[in-house]
Amino acid sequence: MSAETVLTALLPEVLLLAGLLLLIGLEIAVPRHRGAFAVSLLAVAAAAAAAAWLSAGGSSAAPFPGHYSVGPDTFAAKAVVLALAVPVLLLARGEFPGGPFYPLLVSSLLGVCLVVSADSFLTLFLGVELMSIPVYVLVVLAFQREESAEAALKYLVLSGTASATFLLGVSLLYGGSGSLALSAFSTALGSRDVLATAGVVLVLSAFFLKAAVVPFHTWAPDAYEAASVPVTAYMAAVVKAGVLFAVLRLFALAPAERPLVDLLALLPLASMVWGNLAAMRQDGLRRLIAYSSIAHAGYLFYAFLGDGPGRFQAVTFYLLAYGLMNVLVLAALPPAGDDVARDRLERLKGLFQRQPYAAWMIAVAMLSLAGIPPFPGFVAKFLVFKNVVAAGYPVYAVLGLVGSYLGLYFYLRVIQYLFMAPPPPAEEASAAEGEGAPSRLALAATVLCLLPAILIALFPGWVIDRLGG
Amino acid sequence: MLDNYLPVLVFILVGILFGVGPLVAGFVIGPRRPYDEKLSPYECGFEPFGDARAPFDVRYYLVAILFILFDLEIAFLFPWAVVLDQIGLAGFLAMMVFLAILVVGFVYEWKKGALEWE
Amino acid sequence: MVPLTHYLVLGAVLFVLGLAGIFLNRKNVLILLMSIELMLLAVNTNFVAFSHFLGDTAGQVFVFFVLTVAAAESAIGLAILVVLFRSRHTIDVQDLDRLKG
Repeated sequence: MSAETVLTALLPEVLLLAGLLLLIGLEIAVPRHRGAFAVSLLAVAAAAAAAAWLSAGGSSAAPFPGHYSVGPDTFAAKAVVLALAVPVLLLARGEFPGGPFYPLLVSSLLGVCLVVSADSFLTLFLGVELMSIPVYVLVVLAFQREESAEAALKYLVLSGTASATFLLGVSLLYGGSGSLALSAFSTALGSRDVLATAGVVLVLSAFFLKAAVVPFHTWAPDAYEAASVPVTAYMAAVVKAGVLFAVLRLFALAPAERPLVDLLALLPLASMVWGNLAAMRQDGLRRLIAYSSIAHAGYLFYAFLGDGPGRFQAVTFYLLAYGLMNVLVLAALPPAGDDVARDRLERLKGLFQRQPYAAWMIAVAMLSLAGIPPFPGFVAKFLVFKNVVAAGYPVYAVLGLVGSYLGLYFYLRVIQYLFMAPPPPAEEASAAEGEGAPSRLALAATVLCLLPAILIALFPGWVIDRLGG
Repeated sequence: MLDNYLPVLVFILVGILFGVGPLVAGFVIGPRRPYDEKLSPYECGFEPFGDARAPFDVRYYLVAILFILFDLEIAFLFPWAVVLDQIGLAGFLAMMVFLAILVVGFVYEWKKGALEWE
Repeated sequence: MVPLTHYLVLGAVLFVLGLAGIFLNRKNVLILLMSIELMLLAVNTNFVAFSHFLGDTAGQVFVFFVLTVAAAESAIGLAILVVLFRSRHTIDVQDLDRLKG
């Protein structure tokens, strides 16, 4: 294989790595430089464009046979993840003028790309760790808050436990199959061997923890709340996508069989119900998003009940719709004097009178997250549940639908806050205190989320075809 | 098969006896006549100053953190060095890229002042 | 010759000790980090044992990477611990209750 094919296959990663080295070089050579934002935006956008272009060209290759391979669908997945990172970067400009935020974000994205292309447990493990280790630091970066170090530590300890559990499962699968290839997992899915089943269950529970599925979800609300807004957006949209792509790589096309199907259906079901119920009690937007993301992790894992070919499309489409809407909420959230006040749901009361555009954006995102037609979230949920029914689990599909419409209440409550009559003047003043118009970059981020969302709402079929599978 | 391990067992037993025996003997036959002056802690004859359980300076943690990161490269260098004549130029270059990235990290921490003690 | 099962049992015992350390420990955050390290090393025993009995070196290569990642993780953990100590002046697990979970 020539160097040129290898470089083409690795083009998104090479661009990200070049951006990363440039960022660190800038940090070393030029004290207090202002170029970090521009460099990382350029690198991520270029990598996303390269991935989209390679996916459209239908190129596939295996630069490191047995460990790393690319094809149109992996390029599409990379394009989705990298494109989601662009509005996150735009959001970050105001909060992080420079410093370690940008190199950490880019290296985490590099990890996601590695995960998406992984063919062996070795690359998958390295990718997952490269993706999550920078995020622990990103959570701490909200320095004005005392809680962030505590939340980061909780996240690190639980995530570290998940990594160890994953590795224990991998070691059992390795012992059973004698190879580190990811196919060991899908073969073990159908096997009756105790060692293989134990390995599969351990690996799955590790990913349940990383994706915050009940009962392994406790770190998520804390980490989401204590991180600063762009980092929350990054965790909700990109890190979750990375974890789900890892599970997609593991399952490949293998169908889920009993008794694992029940594990794969019941925990996500619990996750939907508990996430939606707990979200009702929240009064902070970021905790609300955290619980909503726990519920959405449930829907995403539901997709794995379905058959192989539909699974990739359903999950990728869902991650795209869900990620765009999450970033949209956090981008439209009006800035405030301090980070904690910005979070209060109370402050959204009567927002429509003060900032109609922001209110509309948050409303659209909430409706889409709730899965109401004709918003993209509905199409995504429809795909998932259609696959579950097609695979022959109508009972689980019905239970899931019931669980998912529990969520309507709190999404609609936010909308009610937005459009309710303006509060009395005294309260209004306190609510609007320190509230500025969203910065121009945040507006650009909302547009970047909204346009693709409109596209996938109008032409879902076209988008699904582009996502391959 | 287990016979081979008998000397080890004997060695362990003798070792334990040799270590624990004198302690027990001292405990059993030693005279004990404590009084205040004898029980008070002392440092080379004068009154102790400072707490014996003073926590470590945070700066030691920093050094420890940097140490764990950089000591592990040896784990990669050893196997690489052993098979260097079989993996050719590609293997050599791959390790050089790895080391170059490590050097970038090292220069970064240096510039950030992580190596300054004060 | 020690059979494979013994190594696996050793690995499982060490892993469970680490896991118990995480959930039972109420004293010190450092112990949490040590428990994670113990779990990862338990997994390494498994890998080395399997690698030896399968006659396949891939498992031992994996061990190198696990060690590296473990080092990176504990380095980040220690760094966060220092930040936490500076703001809170304690590293007791019990005192970490600002967030509801």
